[in-house]
Amino acid sequence: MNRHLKTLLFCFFVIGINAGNSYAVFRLNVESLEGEDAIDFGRLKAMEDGGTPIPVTESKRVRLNVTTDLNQPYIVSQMVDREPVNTRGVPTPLSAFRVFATLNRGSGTNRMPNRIPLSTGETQIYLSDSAGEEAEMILQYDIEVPPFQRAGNYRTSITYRIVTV
Amino acid sequence: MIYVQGLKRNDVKYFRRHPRLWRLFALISLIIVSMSAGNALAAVDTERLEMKYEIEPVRALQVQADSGTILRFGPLVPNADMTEQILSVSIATNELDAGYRIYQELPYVTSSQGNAFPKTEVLMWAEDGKEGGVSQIKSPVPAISKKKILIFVSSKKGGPDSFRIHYRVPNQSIYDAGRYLGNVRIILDAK
Repeated sequence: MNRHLKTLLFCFFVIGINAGNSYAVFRLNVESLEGEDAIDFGRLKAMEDGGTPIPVTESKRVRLNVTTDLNQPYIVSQMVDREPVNTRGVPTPLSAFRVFATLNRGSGTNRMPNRIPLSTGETQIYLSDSAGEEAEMILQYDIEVPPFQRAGNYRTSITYRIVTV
Repeated sequence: MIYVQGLKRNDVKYFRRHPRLWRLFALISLIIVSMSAGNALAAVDTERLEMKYEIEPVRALQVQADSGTILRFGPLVPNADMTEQILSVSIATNELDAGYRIYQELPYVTSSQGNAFPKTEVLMWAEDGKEGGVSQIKSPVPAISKKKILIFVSSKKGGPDSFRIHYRVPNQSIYDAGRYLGNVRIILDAK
């Protein structure tokens, strides 16, 4: 057989074997339950029109869905980039936010069953069982606007990650 | 000299004598390494979601007299001791870089019989703000005026502040007897 043809066949063979692995499904889907493309708390008041501080709280929920056929255990985590800041760089402290998770589907461990303050860095949300079953969870984010919080449009972003262990 | 781990020197010599076998061995090794590398890497997927909200701007003025909402002088006796009343003014705001000015309006003070109180007989001055605002009337000036009187200018950055306005009636004139009333308006304006 022609030497080049042999090489070509071999390459197809190797690619084919690895391609089989790459078709495995391991996917995270994240969506706001309010149907928005963001966790949007909307327009909030930090004080009454008369200047008296009022405790304003608002909640938003996010659904996380893990689809997998890897049969490997995995971790779901979130990373808050930084404190939300307005266009002038004024932050809202992360202590103004709380988050907790409820499990809709999956036999793993909910690592965030109770309300905890939001923090930067990676925080585990869910640890799957050893078989790496699919899972779905709801995260609820609460904000309690600090009194006299400066006016403006505040933004940050949260990265959700699934990774096999 | 290249030695393959797990092979002895004699094995390598054997493969050298049989190049086809050597190639086959290399190919199989490549396939195994390639498959192992694929499995060894952790699978990862990420999604990103923005978090956002708007805090409404509020700017509010609160004014408090010693006796509630009324500046009460009297009963007044001409040439008797000077009486003083204080208005405490506070500005609650969460706006950024939005300076403001505060004015006073007291166009007249009249009795129920229509007698005007002497304009120079009500004096006022204001203290500086606790958070950087500056009084514009640090010495007593007549408070009764048909024009707005600028009494306070915030710091450049604006923000919450508080200060006090002092009102005095020197009792240096002879007034017509009666009950005198006037409306003091404290006005908050953007710079």
